[in-house]
Amino acid sequence: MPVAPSSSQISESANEDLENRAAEFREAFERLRTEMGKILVGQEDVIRSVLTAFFAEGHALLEGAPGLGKTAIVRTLAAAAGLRFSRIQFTPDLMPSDIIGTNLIIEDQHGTKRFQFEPGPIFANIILADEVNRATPKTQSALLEAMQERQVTIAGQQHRMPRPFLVLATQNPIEMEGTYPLPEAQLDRFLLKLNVQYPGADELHEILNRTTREHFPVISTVPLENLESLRELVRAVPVVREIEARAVQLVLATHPEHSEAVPLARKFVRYGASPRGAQALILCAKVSALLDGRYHVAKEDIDMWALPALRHRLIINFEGEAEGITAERVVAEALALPK
Amino acid sequence: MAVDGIVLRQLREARRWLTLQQFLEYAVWTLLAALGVLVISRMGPPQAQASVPVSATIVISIALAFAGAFWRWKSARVVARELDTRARTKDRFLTALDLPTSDESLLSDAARRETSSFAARLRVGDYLRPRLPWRNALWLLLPLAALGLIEGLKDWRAAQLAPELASARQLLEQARNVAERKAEVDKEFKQVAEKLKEAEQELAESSEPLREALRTLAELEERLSRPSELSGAEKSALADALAQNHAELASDLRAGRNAEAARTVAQLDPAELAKALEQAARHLESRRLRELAAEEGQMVQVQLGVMLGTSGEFGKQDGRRQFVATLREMKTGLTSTARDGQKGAGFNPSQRGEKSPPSGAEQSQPAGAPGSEMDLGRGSDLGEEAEPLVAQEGSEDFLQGEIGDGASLVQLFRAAGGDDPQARRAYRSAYQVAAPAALDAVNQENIPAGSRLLVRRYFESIRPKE
Repeated sequence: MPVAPSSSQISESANEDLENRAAEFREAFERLRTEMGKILVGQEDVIRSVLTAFFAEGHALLEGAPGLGKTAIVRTLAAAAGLRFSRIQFTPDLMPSDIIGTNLIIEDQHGTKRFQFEPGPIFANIILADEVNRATPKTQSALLEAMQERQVTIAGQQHRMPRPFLVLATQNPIEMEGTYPLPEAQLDRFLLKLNVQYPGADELHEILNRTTREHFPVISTVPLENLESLRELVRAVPVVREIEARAVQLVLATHPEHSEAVPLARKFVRYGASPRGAQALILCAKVSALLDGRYHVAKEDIDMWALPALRHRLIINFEGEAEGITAERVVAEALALPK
Repeated sequence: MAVDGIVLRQLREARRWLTLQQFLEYAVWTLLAALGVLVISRMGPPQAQASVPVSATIVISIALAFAGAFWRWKSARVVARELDTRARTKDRFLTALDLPTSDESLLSDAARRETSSFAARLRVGDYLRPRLPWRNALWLLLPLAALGLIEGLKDWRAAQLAPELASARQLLEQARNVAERKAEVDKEFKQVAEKLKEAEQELAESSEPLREALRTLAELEERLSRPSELSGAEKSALADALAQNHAELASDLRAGRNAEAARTVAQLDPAELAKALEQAARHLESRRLRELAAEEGQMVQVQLGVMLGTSGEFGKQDGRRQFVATLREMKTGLTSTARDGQKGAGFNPSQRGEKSPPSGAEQSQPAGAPGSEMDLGRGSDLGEEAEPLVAQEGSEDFLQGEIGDGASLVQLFRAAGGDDPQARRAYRSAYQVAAPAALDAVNQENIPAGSRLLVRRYFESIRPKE
């Protein structure tokens, strides 16, 4: 006759399950990073940040000069994760329907005509919105609903995005002619904004070594059957109020009208970071805590993400632009506040 | 689920270390402040030194440091924050404290277990062991050195002053003994004796004990010296003030019946008498009467009686005169020995009450004379007559009287100690003006040849020192 497990046994089993899930999360993260590293040389911070956004269910905006591997990062992630990848090259003549899809008139075998939804390229797991600032604001805004609500509405009918759904947009800081800066509302929907830097000499040698020979490196797919469970695990990491207060402090420090605002923000910031900024800080910090083998968030986890999570949410005023003040400087000053 | 016991234990240990460290840091600063106060008070007047005892200052500063340190680390949250920062625990202690007890999710439990096991492994002392703040403690050397210097200087000065102090004490003690004996007859001497006793006690803290003692004696002498008689105008003004309530006394005053008036004055209420004197002083604008009115208690009656020139009940004046004379002899003995290079030898009790013959040095330059080494700035000083020559108001420049069979008119050089304590002319300038005329007089006047040398030596003796 089987004996019912006691409460302590149940608790031990649940703890063991939690430990396994946490270990699985760390392993998945590390394996994805390793696989991406086979193709990408250097850019370790960018890779780690993209993966963090991936597990935190956020979107990332990659900014860098042409040829730095922005597109390669996204492609590699899709390949390593074994997810459906879609690339949308944003151009001035790109229309919203070119992204989200459209209703087509279809005639069946009985001659009856009806509308049938033809999904656009946005219906994929990982979207590469290449040179997103080259499309018109109207087209850019087509991404808004999809990014935030994870659904699109066409002719009054809602279509849900597949899960996982990750938008990785790239933009070029040079060649600004004929571009349309992203609207603030859309910028705020990106969890992180990552600056892709030029590789160093050693990294350039390695890039040449990998890309100018007859054999390209081959990456293997990391199984992510429990991706949703791992994402839930990230969100379940507890954050105590005093640690959370650090995120609040950093966000409020960028608000020019707030009493805790840093001097640079008071003088040169028109609008500070939105509440999404604080959400981004906490979510990314939770990912970092789990990767560190902890089940709680520390202040340094939050600080680590302050720059990529807040820099695109600050709007510098005219005086700030004239003085050459950047959002990064304001955030750096906020980080110097005592914890 | 409550906060983990291991975490709490570690936090308590952390609090102990942090409090100790904080105490050391605060103690340095509070001690520095306390020593600073001590140094400043040691440099100040003796009264301030007595009010800041060293041991109490140190105890208070240490108690303040401890209280401040305890208060600083009172909260467990503050301790946890500091421990997290110093031991780089990634906020584990703060999390363990702050995790809501109601949250029993799997991850919260896991966080508690993880923080607890981390706390169990952590050796708190490795991160928080207190270190003496040497750099700050070095500042303590400054006030300590200053204190040592000040105390050393004081000891050295005390050693230098010891003979002078002993002699000053002896002087005051002898004066007190005399005053106590006289207190049996005149109660006022009881106050005098007490004042002398107080002055004797205060000598220990004086930097110039002999000068202090002499000053005390001079004050007593001045107080007890017989004041000059009331002038007619003063009597008249006082009679007017008393006429309403004491017609008989007013009549006696106007008629010059001083003895009767003095007897009546002795029976009056001192306050009423003082009021009348004040009124008369206002009428005449007489400073002397105002000062007399300000005398305490029965001293008003005594002084007024004396000024009315009575004897009998006020024959106590003789006792006072004797005492004043004794004081002068004491000072004379002391200062002459000091002048002869026997400083600290003190007054010879055998000389008390007997006027010793003046030495050669005294003849050439009387002690206490203006410009002399022991000049106290008073006219009624050593070597003068027992009765100080003080002019009455209204006859400030000349004193009329009789010498032998004829009338005399004497010009006065008023000095501090009379009714007007402010000398109106510097002694040196007065001497320079008068000296040529005096020398001419010595040479030209018909002075007996035997006395001429004596007169010449007198003028030499009063010549101000260069």
